[in-house]
Amino acid sequence: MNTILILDDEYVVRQSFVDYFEDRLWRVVQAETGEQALELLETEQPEVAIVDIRLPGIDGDVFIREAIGRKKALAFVICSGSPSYGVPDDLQNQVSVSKHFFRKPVTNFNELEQDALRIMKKSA
Amino acid sequence: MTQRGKSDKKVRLGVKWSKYLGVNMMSQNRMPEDKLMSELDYLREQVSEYDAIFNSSPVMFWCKDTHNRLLRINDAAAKFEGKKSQELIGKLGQDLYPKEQADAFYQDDLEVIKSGKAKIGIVELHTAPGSKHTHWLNVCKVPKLDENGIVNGIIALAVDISEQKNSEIELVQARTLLDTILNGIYDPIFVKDEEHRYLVLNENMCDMMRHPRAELLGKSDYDFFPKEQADIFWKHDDKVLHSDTADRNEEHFTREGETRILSTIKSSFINPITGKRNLVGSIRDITDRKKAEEELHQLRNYLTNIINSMPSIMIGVNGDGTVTQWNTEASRVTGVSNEKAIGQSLATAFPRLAPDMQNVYQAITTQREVVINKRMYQQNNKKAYENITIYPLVAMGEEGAVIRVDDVSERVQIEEMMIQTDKMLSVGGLAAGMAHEINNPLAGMMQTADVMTNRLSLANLPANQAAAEDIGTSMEVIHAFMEQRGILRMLRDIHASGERVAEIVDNMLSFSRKSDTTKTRQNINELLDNTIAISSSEYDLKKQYDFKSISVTRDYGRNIPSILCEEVKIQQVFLNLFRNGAEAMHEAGVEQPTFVIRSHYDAKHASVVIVIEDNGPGMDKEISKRIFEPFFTTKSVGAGTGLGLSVSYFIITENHGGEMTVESELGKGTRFCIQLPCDNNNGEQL
Repeated sequence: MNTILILDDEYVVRQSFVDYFEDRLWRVVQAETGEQALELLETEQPEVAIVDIRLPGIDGDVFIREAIGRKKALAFVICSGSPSYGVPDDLQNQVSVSKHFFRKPVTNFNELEQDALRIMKKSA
Repeated sequence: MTQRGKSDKKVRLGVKWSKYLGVNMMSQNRMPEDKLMSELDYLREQVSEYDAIFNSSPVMFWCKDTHNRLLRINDAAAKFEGKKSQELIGKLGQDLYPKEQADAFYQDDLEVIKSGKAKIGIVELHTAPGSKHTHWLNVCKVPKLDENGIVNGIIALAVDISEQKNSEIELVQARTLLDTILNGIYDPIFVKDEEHRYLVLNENMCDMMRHPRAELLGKSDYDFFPKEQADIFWKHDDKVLHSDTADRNEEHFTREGETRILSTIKSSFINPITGKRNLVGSIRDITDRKKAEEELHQLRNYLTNIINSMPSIMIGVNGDGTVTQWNTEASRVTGVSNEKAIGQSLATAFPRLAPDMQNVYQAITTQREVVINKRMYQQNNKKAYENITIYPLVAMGEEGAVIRVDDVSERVQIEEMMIQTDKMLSVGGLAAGMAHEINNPLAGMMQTADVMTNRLSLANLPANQAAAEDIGTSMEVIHAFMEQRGILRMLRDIHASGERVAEIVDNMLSFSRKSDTTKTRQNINELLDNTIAISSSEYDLKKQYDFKSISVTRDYGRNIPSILCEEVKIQQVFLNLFRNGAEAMHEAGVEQPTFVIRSHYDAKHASVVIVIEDNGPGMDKEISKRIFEPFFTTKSVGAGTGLGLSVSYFIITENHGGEMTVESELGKGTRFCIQLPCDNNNGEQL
């Protein structure tokens, strides 16, 4: 069973991801801030994370850089409600970061799941 | 008695008298008495005859001795002095005349006395004592001799020549006056005789000829001018000399490399002395006047040209509204020619401005310009706008005004567009700030609804099966219930509505000058092909059209330079146009829906032009004018966001510095025209 980390500060949104991925038989861990997520990584080893960008505290991209810096074997899919955000240039070239940027609302969960699986395999 | 006989007698008398007296006084010889008596009688007769002649002669005689004493004076002379001869005889000169005058007379006498020679032709001014009249006398003084031939006085003869002398003076005065007048006239004046020879020339004429008068008199033009020039003068002279009509001519006269224009007037008259026809001419140098006229003419032309080159309508009116100026633009717009308009009332020549006479009067009375901006009028059933400025004229005593009319329809349109753009920008700014806030709750709703759909409908989901079994039912039953109660449809509706909100937010975000993506060089024809391919793959039941059923005619220009653009955004514009067109054609039930897609390079504007044309239902002017406005839609509520075209417009004009226009007519399809500059970075820099 694969483990997925959902990082989103918006409860309803986070919960919808949790519900979806649980239904799809993922093991789901969740965090509402980047700091929480980093803390979580001390104990959990998710294969992939769905990362919101705009967060209280550190932003999603900061979290990703931090996680990569800690040599965590984790793949990332960025999913943000802020349209002015994209995948930052330095993260574009990271093998573990999906080039596909998902916008909230996610209208097709399946696409997101497939992308998560793909990047997970790719970075593994 | 003839003159001749009389003079003979005088001569004889003189001889006889002197001889007799001499004999009588100097010789003691006696004559016989009878002879003596008869001689005496003869002598008496002679003396009385002589006295008669002496006194009745109109010629004045008098004799004086050497001491200036008057010895004899005849009646004519005495009368001239206003006295009787008896009163005068024996008087001295100084008794009769003022000393100065008397001395002057005596001086002449003495000269004759001393020289013993006659002095003739003494012309002197003579005022008789006690008389106010002055007379000119021609006096002749001869020495009076005694029997020994010794001068013992003078005999004077005088004729009153006042009349002659006065005529002479008058003549001289007249002549002087004429010369003064002729020389005082600025224009050269001349008289020529029948042989074209100069008879009279005033000083200015001599100056002009550069010869002294003496050299000119009696000569003709051939003596002073080159033949060709003299020929012309001669010809005109001839015309006048052989008729009594005056000749007015402008002659070019070149000297020392400078050409002057002379206006000559020649007329003829009969010379009273020769009886021949002579000519009198006067010359005026009109070079400066001509030059001034020419300059004035040029200046007027120049001004007219300026006024006519104006893109504005310029109309001059006087105080009562009569047109005095009418430029080319005024003629073009009204169709009334300059000739027809001038002199007409403004209201007749340009009915649209009839109500403005009030403003013209106001401008004139207040001496301030009147400005009316963006006044609307109807032209060919279209709204048009013009700016009217009325300037009061401050000409000398002449009141009037100049009316300037500028067509600002285009500017007003651009301004309206700019207002629209501003609106879009504020929408964009608002959206950028709100997007995150909207998208998150929206994601909560939609994503939750999607998960709900999964949980209510997916029979093979293990969690679903487990849960259903737990509560003693099956997914089939639950699914059947959901279908029957329309729950799944409702969830789909939630999803669809959420998608629309997301789309609106997305579109609104496009109204932002900030751009995430960078511009790349794109071949517009390839971009069109790609977009057509994407469109073709869209078959949307909900949107109810099938792009594949539409025939697409491509007419691409060759060698179109690549343009710097945001590929995704330009594609979005094309896609939007294809979707709109396809939907419109589908809805209108067009039998053979067709897109015609053209592209070409416009070298003049250094831009690529893309034309996308459909044969759909088209639209009327009112709609096509508003089609790019945000939230303006003709689609039924729920079918469109009303932002697609305004986003497209924004992308082309704001992000890419291009132009986007629409042409459409109801029932005749729609044509969108996009122009993208080849060398643009404008969108980014705005």
